[in-house]
Amino acid sequence: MDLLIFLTLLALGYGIGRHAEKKHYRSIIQRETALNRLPAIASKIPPPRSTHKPMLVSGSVVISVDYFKRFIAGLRNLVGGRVTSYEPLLDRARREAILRMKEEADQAGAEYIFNVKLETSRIAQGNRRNSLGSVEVLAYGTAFIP
Amino acid sequence: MAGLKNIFGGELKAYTELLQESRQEAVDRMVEQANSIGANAVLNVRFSTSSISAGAAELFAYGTAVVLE
Repeated sequence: MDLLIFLTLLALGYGIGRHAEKKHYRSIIQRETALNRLPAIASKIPPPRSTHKPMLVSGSVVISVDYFKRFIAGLRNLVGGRVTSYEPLLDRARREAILRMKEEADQAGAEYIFNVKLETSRIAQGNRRNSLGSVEVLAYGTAFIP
Repeated sequence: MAGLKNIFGGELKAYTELLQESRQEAVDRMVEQANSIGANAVLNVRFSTSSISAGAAELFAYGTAVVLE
């Protein structure tokens, strides 16, 4: 009975998780192309003597990993190596956070974003101590509005 | 809700909102503090998050308060 529940959760996680990931990636790529005109620059040095108005912009997202990937990562913990099942999770979260930051800047009519910083934090969750429940990624920077 | 998401994966909208609100609160407090010492701008703002315990997180914002002329 326990095994049955476990396998069902695994299958659900795999099926729905994969579908959601694909959908999310499609949306990310589409929005990234649309927002390409608004550059986000990591440089700390502000542009010389501009008349732009600066504004703090930020975007954040909390994403959870699915059951299947968590299981695969658990297996990976035994043998070591790249935890490829977690990589798309963090990639999606970072890109989504940057997109949300850009969207906020775009709404304010910004021309570019300077000094972009990214921050990742683990949201404590899950019953096992070492298991990664979900991650929060925050992207923030200074938008320059002409 | 978050438990379900743990199985299917995906965005936890409620958590995103919660953290956004808390972060806004941190920024507000920072601005208030800067105001109280007579600054009119805060430069080089940084955010940080730390997990205090299961179900609690601390969000803080800090920066350099200056008087721009």
